[in-house]
Amino acid sequence: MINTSAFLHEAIEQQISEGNMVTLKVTGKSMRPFLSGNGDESIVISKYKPEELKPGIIIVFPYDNRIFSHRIIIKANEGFIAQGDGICSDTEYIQQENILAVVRYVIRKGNKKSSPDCLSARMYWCLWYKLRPVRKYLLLIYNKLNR
Amino acid sequence: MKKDKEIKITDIAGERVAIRQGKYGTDMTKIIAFNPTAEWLWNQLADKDFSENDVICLLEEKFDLDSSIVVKDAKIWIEQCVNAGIIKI
Repeated sequence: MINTSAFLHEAIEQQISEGNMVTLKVTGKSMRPFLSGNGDESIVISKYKPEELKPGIIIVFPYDNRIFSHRIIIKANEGFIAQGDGICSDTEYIQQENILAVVRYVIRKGNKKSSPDCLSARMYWCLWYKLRPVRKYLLLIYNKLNR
Repeated sequence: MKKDKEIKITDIAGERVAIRQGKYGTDMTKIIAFNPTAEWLWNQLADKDFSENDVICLLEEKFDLDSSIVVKDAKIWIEQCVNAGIIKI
């Protein structure tokens, strides 16, 4: 029996260090509305250069015995503060050495590929970030519509 | 039936696993752990078309087992591989 979380962590580290891209299924709902987490989406991740790590970038990191893909919202000291788009208040402090990879593409239902770094995705994030004071209510509506 | 050509058997995190190497790199959305027999069977089938009977024959040649057990094991192995998308019918 494979310990999924430990296996995934080690497997991602191994594949990324070998220079491979890795495709993972998105299961959680913490990146709603950008990623619905309903099982139809995958993310393609790969190695990063330190200068790529900036607010808005979606990073992949181990946290609390799970693998998360959340967005950098602030650079802080030796690390970064990350937060899921679908989270209203909780954040994670991640040191750079613990960032496994960054998300290069999102593959949605019907094999539609998009980059989280394209203009429309960046505009979405800028707007979504500014809407933090009312995010809770927007998420309530989104979650009601997408149960 | 035929094996998916994009599938590679490799060591990942101390496990022998069947994994797809596609255009988006290593696909970890579906991973199957292979035991030594499953891996041996996979390698024997090479890249040619095969039937359930071919799998049964290979197992019968390799293992001295009751034929009902061999047939059952062959069916289970094929079913699991098909469900995981690594064998195409």
